[in-house]
Amino acid sequence: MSTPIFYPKDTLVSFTKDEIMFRESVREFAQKYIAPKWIEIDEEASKDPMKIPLDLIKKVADQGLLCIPCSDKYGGQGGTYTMATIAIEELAYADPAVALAVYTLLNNGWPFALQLFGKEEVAQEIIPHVSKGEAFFGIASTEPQGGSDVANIRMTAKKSGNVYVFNGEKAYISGVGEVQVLPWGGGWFLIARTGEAGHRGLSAFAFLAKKNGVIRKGWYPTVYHDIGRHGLNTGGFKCENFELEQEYLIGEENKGFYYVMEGFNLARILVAAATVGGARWLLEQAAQWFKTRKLFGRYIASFQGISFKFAELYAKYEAARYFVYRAARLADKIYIEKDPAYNPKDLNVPVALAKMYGPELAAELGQEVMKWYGAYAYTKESPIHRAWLGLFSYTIGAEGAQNIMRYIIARDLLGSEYVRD
Amino acid sequence: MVTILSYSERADLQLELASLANELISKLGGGVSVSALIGYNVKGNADMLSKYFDRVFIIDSENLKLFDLSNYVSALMEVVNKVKPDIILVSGNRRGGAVASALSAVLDVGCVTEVVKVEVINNDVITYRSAYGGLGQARTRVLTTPKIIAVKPGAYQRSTVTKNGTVEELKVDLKKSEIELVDMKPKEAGVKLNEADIVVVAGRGVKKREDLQMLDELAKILGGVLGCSRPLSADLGWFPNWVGMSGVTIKPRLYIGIGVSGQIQHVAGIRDSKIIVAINIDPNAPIFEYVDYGIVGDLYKVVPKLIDELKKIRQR
Amino acid sequence: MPNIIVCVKHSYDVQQLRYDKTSRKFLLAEAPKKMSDMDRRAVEEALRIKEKHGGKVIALTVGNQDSIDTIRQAYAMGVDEGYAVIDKDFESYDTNNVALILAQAIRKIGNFDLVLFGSASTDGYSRQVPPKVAMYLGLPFINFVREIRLEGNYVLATSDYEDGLYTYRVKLPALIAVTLDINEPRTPTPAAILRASRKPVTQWTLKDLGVGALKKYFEVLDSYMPETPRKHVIFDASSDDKIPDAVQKLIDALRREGVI
Repeated sequence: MSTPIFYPKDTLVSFTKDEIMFRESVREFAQKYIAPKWIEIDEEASKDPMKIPLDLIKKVADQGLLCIPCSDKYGGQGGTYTMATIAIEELAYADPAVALAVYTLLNNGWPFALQLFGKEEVAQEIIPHVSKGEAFFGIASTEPQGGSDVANIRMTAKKSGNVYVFNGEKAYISGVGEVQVLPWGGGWFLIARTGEAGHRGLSAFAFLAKKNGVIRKGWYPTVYHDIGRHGLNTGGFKCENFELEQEYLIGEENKGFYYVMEGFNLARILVAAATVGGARWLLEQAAQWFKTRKLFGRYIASFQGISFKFAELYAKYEAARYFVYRAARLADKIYIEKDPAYNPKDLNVPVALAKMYGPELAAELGQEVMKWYGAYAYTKESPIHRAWLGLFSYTIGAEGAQNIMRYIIARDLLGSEYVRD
Repeated sequence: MVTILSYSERADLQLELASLANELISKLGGGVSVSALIGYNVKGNADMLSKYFDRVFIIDSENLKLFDLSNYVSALMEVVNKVKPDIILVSGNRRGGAVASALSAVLDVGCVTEVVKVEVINNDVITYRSAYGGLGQARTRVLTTPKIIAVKPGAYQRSTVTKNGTVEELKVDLKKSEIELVDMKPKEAGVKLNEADIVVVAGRGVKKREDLQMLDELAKILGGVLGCSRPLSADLGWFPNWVGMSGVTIKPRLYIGIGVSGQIQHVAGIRDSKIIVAINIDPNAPIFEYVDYGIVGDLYKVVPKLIDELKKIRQR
Repeated sequence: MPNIIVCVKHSYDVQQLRYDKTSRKFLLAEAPKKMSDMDRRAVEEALRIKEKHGGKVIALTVGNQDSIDTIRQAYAMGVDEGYAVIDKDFESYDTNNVALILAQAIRKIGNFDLVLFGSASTDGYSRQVPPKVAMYLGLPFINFVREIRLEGNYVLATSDYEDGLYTYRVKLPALIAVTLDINEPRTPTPAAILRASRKPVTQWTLKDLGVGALKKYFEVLDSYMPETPRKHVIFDASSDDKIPDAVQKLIDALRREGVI
């Protein structure tokens, strides 16, 4: 464990005493159980993507880090969204390749979205298993033709008696391996077409891959080999006349687009929190390196080309962290405190700022730290590349591509009529 | 004229106190050094102690066979009442520190523990102790008479000034202890880390117990001894004791930490070493902040090479 | 069904304590505080005893207003009752003062079978308070304990001394101070932390305990980071081809220093 540098006095965010105690608790947990293992997990799962760290997932669950904002009547922690955000930041700091952080963030954001929009009995059925680490519950929206264009989803769900029959394909979905190996299985907040073309014909489902512990008929998964963030499995699946009982429809038919947009807002806060936690780890690696490395008889940070860049990246890190916690606080106002002065749309811009800024900072920082470290960073001995590749995944996708964030910010500030082409 | 009473349950540590007692007596304008020899079947040490102290008091009782704090304090109180010391020096090993503290409560006087240095300034006794868990140091003062000072073992050399002291035995009525010893597993004596000139310390980076052989070989080639950091002793039980704040404090000419991460509590125990060297695969290990020389590299590759090169030098 | 009182201290987190590079003084005002490491093990041990034998766990602290945070942390871990003796002059108290206050508070709580302490606090590290409290209360005392077992009215405790591991048996009530090795303390879950913030902390003043003016036994003149200049020369052996050169440079340096 490296010496914490950017940790002690928090002048960015005024945390409550409970939140500070929680941060200490998660941090200690993560440093004790995850930090010593993340490199091994990343290495092992890079060779075999089905090497999912089930023991650590169980530990994370026992520590109460899954389903934090969910109600205790569903086995959740009855906590706040800010607490979930703190948990993700600390997990990513301990595992900057972010496999565990991503598992945990998905299983906070999406069960919470299920609680908000799903049927009581379905929440009762699924969330307790997710919170115990026995089941995975993420998001399945992206399809092979593209992820950002949610309105043009092709997978269909046709009502037939008491069931919906699914046909189509999902791609780049987190948790495809997890739902197969976890005892209860689990699934996704899945978007499929039940009606007309465009976003008004989409419905959301609590899509479960297993029934009574057995994979359902008509579900054909494939597992991908990613370049980073190993230990969290991504893959795709085809549905060929896959049947799901009608009660798993979330909310009303053809309203799925609206639910998933709110769910994305919630999950994006945590995605950005993960990039901030990973960025803190990278900054510490850099600072430690500066203290021990000399070049031409000088400490390398005495070269202004390096120290100025470091200062700039630190500024971006603080900004990203501020964006993240502002959005988390706002999510608490809307979804936990249910403050009538706010509504879900108020989250759009704050969340887009966080999700636009955090991943780009982390990717840039990862690349700079690689350069500062020099050739050592290009060897497998150095862990820097693992963090860099893991964090980089977020500049590509994960609950919405970067340009979608830009689009949301511009649209909400200027008005959609000026932004649409 | 000051009277300085010294106590430790270990005779070798009494000799360290003897040299501090002599130093204080000379700086405070003369006085008497007294040793309290307390325990069961300890009379045999009296003659030896009388060579280093002016007066030796023996309290030997079967009820002191077991380390019961209240009985040890009662026994020591007997000597205190007899000689009315100005300063009570106690060697601050684990038992000694507790005796000093408990005595301070019973006598209702002040006590300082973890002392590494004592100075006399304008007739005032200033004690230096570690502060903030070994991270720093503090200048402190006990405001009562007598003053109780618990000195870290190894902070002072054993006395070489010989005396011709008197020996006297005191009888004390001690109750039978409420505490009963049901089991005792001795620790192997281990090497005396605080006396070695060169100390190689194995840290958590050493993966298997067998690998210690390689480090032991390095220590032997250098003419030093092998010790360890806390996890290897406290968690894994590979060594009887460890180097660090809660273990042994060392100040060798050369310290080489191998696979040692460098927690504050460890660094507090090596701070006074002349040269500090670390070998660690993690360039960000905190130990590198405290070193004179460091090698960033895999200990399993660096140490064998180091042994080879040192052997070549020896053969020349 | 033992009642256990655990004494806990709200200590500076020395791992995060910084100092001013010129004055070499510690920057205490900005240093985070937390429950002392060994005291947390004592709380954990008390909770494990309770899980096995039933009874009640009571956390007690003495300190500034902020030491209530430590009782909250004990609540989050799972203790049943929390007491804090609050005094604004706490920082100036020596170990005799603190031990006296704790002894009085323990008497006032009363009805206990076991008193647990950490053997040393993370910041003070004097190891003086537990033996003093034992003397004040006239309780049998077992120190540096790394294992505790309850057998009826007796407690078995294994002390870690320099020369060996001693297992003692003593009738309750007794006072035991534990080391870091006794257990791995639990890290509270979000739900436990939220529950803890709703539990009341009983606050006492010195007057409530009948403690009058405190005598001064000991003072700290100043504390500072000692200066130990080091050379900080690092040789890179991160790839195999660099090892011979790094090793040679180290040997040369150590010979120049005259240590080998």
